[in-house]
Amino acid sequence: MSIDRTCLQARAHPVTVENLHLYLHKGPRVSGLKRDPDEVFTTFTAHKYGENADNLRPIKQFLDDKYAISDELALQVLTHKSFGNGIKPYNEKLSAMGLKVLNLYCAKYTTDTPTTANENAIDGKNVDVLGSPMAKELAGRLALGLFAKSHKLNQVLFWKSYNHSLGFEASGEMKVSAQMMYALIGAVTFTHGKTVAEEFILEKLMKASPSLEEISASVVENVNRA
Amino acid sequence: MFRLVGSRAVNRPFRVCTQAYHVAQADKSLGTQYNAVNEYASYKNTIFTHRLPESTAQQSPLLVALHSRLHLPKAYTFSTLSQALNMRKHGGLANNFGLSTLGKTLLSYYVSEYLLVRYPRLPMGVHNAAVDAYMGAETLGEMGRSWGIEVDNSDRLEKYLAKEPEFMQYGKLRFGDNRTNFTDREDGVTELSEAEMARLRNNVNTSDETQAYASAVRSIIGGLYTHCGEGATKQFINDHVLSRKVPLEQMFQFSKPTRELVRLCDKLGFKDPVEIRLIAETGRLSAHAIYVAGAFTGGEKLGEGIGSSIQEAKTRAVVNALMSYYLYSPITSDGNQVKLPSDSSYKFEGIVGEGDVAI
Repeated sequence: MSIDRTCLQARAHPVTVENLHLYLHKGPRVSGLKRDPDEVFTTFTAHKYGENADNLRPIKQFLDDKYAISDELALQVLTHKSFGNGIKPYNEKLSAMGLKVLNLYCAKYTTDTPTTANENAIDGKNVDVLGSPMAKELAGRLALGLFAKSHKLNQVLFWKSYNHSLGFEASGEMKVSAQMMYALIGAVTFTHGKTVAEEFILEKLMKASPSLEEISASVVENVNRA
Repeated sequence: MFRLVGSRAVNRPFRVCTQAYHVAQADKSLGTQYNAVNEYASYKNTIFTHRLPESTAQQSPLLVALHSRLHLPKAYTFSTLSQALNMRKHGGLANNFGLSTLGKTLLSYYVSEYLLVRYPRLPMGVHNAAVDAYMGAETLGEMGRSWGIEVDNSDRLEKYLAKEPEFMQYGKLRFGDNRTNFTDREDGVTELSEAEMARLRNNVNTSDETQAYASAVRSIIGGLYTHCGEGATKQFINDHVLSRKVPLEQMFQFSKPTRELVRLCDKLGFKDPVEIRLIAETGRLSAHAIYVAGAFTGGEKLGEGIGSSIQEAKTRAVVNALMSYYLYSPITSDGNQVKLPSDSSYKFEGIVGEGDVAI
């Protein structure tokens, strides 16, 4: 039986991680090639993914010390499922929480009307307002998306559109910005509890300028006019 | 990644939305009037004339029975309870639309909060299915039936002939139209309404009656909020909705479990690669071989599975690893369940779900 010499020679140099040369591909996706993380985890606005101060500044400033959240959570708030194929922690669960908190807050906010003249109100709570466009849009995606945009909270967002050159609504920026806002409310809820989150909505969203209420009202009135 | 058992997913052709957002439209049939959109006190649905007077509602034996059966607080008026059971838009009495919306909002917050905090890692599809299992129409409909709510399905003529006191109907669930139906009905054949047909086309097989029961249950919860505040409502939801056992572990179905586990370990940043190793075997050459496989990353065992073939044992090990990740429920340092954000003296001790992996 003969021994294959070339085979033995090849085994004399074991492959270790140190001398392994990995080709990291840049540019358009090629099936089977590992992409360079530097490129994958950079947004189209050239923001590099990471817990650095530049990335987190807009929402940290918005939150103040009173509603502060951890850096890790803040980065998760800013990360959408579309970024890096969902490999980084993203904000889906946070926004699920935030949406429910905001919906509940808005339902209480709109129905709590002790001065109402509506004789069908129950214990000073006018439930006729529920189901109206205003009550629905107050926690709606468009209003939240516009809020994030007008308060410059969506300047750094980790997401990827199928076409970034499209407009605010069509590219998905509105949806992603709104989801970031829900996630922000969700992160405050997780960190500080529901009572503080409701104070946060009142103080930072309802009393901001322009407030969420003003934005929703203009959304609804634009439709009524059209 | 997984498919829900009895999934309602329908493949829809991809469409490009030109108008990306549709602003909510007013329900014209309610005839809502208001001074300004953000003057919430001024909203009024003009199709209703009045709420049932409390003195009339008190005389309905069905309402009194339901009130005490549910141990509703004294502050909860019979007139609100009667309104919660009325789905009819016409007929002069205020209906339960607003109450039902309010109840649904409260329910969906408390149910979501419970699931998001107690089961933070549930994949979104399973999470949504679990929310549906807790507060979907079928579940709430069953709950309404178990509360002993009766349906008002006799028309005026039948009521007159039976000499039924008018107070009776105020304690019954009223939905659909109650016009006299002179056509003969065939036994065992049910005619579907327009709404039921529409739901059936979307693969949802819930009857109008079930929907009405669900709406009544939501409205009763909404009514509790209006009279007794949020604390009492939360307690009621805990007692009646969240106390039910939902078998989350049966809601999973994995299509590519190994690939999903590898992706998941990648997302979690584990250094060592995922390996599936054979731990033990017996009777390889017999008719009834048994293998025990384990899913490992480095020295850590993620899951273990037993099977009558190596492939089966491997798959079971991987599924076991995935399930024990997804069904994780955090506990506090003293071994209790973590508090929910709506609890008093809440402290964040759990984790926040990081999202599913794409495979």
